[in-house]
Amino acid sequence: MIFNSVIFLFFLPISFFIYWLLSKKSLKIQNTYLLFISYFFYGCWDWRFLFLIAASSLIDFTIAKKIKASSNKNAKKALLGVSLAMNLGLLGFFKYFNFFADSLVDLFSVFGFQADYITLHIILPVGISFYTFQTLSYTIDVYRDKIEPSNSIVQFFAYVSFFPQLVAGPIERATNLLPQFQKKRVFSYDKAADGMRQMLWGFFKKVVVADSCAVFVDRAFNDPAASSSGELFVAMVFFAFQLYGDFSGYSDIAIGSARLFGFDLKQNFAFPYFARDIAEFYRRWHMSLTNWFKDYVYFPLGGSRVGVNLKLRNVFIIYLISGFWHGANWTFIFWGFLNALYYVPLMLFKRNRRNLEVVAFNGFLPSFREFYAILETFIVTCFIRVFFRANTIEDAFLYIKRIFSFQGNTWGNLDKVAIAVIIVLLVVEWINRKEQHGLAIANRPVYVRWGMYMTIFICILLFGKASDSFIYFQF
Amino acid sequence: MKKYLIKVSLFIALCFVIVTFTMLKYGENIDYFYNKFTTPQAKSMIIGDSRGMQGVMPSIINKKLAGSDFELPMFNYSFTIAQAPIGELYNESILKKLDKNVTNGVFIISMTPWMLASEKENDNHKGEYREAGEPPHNIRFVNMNPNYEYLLKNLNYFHFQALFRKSSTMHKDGWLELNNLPKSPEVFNKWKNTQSEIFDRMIDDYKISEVRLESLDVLVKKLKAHGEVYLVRMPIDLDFLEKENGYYPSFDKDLQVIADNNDILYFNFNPVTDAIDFKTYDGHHLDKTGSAVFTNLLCDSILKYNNQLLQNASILR
Repeated sequence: MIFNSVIFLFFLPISFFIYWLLSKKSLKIQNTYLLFISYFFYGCWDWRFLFLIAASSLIDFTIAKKIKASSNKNAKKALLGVSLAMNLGLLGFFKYFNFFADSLVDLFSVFGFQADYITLHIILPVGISFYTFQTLSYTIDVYRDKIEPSNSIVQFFAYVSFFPQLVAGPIERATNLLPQFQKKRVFSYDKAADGMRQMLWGFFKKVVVADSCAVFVDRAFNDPAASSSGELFVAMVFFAFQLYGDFSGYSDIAIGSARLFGFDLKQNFAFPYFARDIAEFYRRWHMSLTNWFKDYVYFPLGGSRVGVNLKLRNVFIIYLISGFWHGANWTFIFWGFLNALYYVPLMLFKRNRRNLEVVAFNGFLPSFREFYAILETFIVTCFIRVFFRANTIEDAFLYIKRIFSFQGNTWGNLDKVAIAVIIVLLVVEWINRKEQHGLAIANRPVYVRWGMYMTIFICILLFGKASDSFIYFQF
Repeated sequence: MKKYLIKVSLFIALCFVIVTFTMLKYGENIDYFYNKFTTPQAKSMIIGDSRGMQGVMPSIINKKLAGSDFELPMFNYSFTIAQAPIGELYNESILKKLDKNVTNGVFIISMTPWMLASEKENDNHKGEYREAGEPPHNIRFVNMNPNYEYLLKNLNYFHFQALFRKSSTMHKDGWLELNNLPKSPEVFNKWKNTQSEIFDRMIDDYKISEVRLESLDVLVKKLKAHGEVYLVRMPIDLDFLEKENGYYPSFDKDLQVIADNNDILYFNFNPVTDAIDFKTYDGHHLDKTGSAVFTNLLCDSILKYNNQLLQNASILR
């Protein structure tokens, strides 16, 4: 089941009403019910993979308890190792097996050996990268004594499979989300109303912005040779908005849905296209993943409190792993590498923590310098993203080469609607850039709020496109 | 909670009003089929694929057959080849749309070889049909205005943005009028090439289905209980005709057999003679002018046949 489907339109309100009807009962009933609807939500895609989620949850539930119960440091370490091996093993098998098999065959062929293919037809379970990271963080946090292990299996299973963020995040830490499962939720009008607003904005970003851009982007990336330089450049910029609309739209719907059920999930996107440098960009883009890598990989490696060489090593490790997390393809790894290259000068000149505050915090418009920095960061990330979107690294180079060949003098049939909705998106998000999401307008007058709601609904109705997936489902 | 429910209900109600207004006011422009399911049950029907949907105009038939005993108005219940090849599913839907009290209606079945073809991987004997899940087979209500069932089940068919362009109009009588058709020979050739490629793909991927042919016979028999049935092969460009005849050489013969067995007529308007201007805009779909010319000619053929029948009957008396 996906958010932008008719079935979700029925699923959500029905689940909501039953949930709050049950709320007068007990916490146990609330959690059991959430577990049930979450498994139903996921099972609508493929019920067989419910066993995988259950297995992943059971492993970490059991191991975390054993870690806590054990007083032997080495035993704790061994148990954590088992959890890591099991979780990463499952992830590796389902997501990376074919990649490694193919790469090995290629490597052998370079040295003149002919190796047999062992490529399996493995279906990638939707959301596996997300919930695996979620369960891993739980076990690591128990190991680090940051959190007490859960005593209720229903509670823990509901936490892992919580339907709004199960398939494409945000990747929630046990330290934030699990305690919310341990306390009976009480309905809050403000929270639910704001959740609805965030969902509405998420739908706008997904079905209007992302899916409008997708048509132009797909055409250009599928056959770059058939497009002019101008069209390729526009498609590259559109891809930035497609990706943002798709993924941050999903996150908004997820966070908004969770709020309807009384949960607060962490912000996942904080208006990244207003970032003034790459460091700020990644502090604002897919924040739950960035923070995960920071806490569980970067800091344990020493972070930035080491010598320059180690610092450089750590930055490259983080960005390369981040690329690899996105998919079993060299394009993602190269994309990670380029991001690291772009980041390194900032770090070496100690300018990576320059822009911690929201842009133009004390004013409405940015200064010229800020505007230039925003534009530069945006354009460079757009070029880097060509490697993210292209099928192969060669395709990506070819794409960029064609942009600079200045071939053809056309800009193609530019979709005016796509341009208009991108402008709307940027204006609305700029106005609300200090808030948690683009439609955080609770304090505005009633006519502004309702005017916005109805305008957005009409935009969705008129300009919304039908698509049956979200980009980040493949990760 | 009460305050929340009131506000959410208000929001939903406003959205509902906007959607309903759009469907009532612009239903003819925002979806190719929607209006077919908002009209009352039909007394006379045109059945077929996209050629029939665009090429047979009920308004002309209503005028031309106005003085006859036929129960009118005519309704065009044709779709496209993806939704409505002949088969048990389409038959069911046709009977759902038909006013069962009619005894002297006119039923024009516009046939193409593709309407009797199935994908090679589909076994029609086992009930595997490519059209299952498509409208009109996925809806229960075919006479409801506004038709929310159609909206919910076929949301991806709607293109609400089209209410500004109005590039197509699905008339209340079921005829699809396309407004932005190619005028230059270059565009015409481009469109024709695209259609030709589609034909080539279908020739590779589709096989003639005996089950569909049997369903056609069943349909004719069922409709005969409600009036006169005519099998029609609409005019198309010669190169397309050759492709179709190469794919299904016995098509005309098979239709003639069904017509003979059921004592009905098979009108084959191919090959097109130079004397008549059946203009297509892509090689096999008639444009507005061609549709009017063709519909008039079809009505003349029907009237001529009926006059003959009446004369024969009076001689016998």
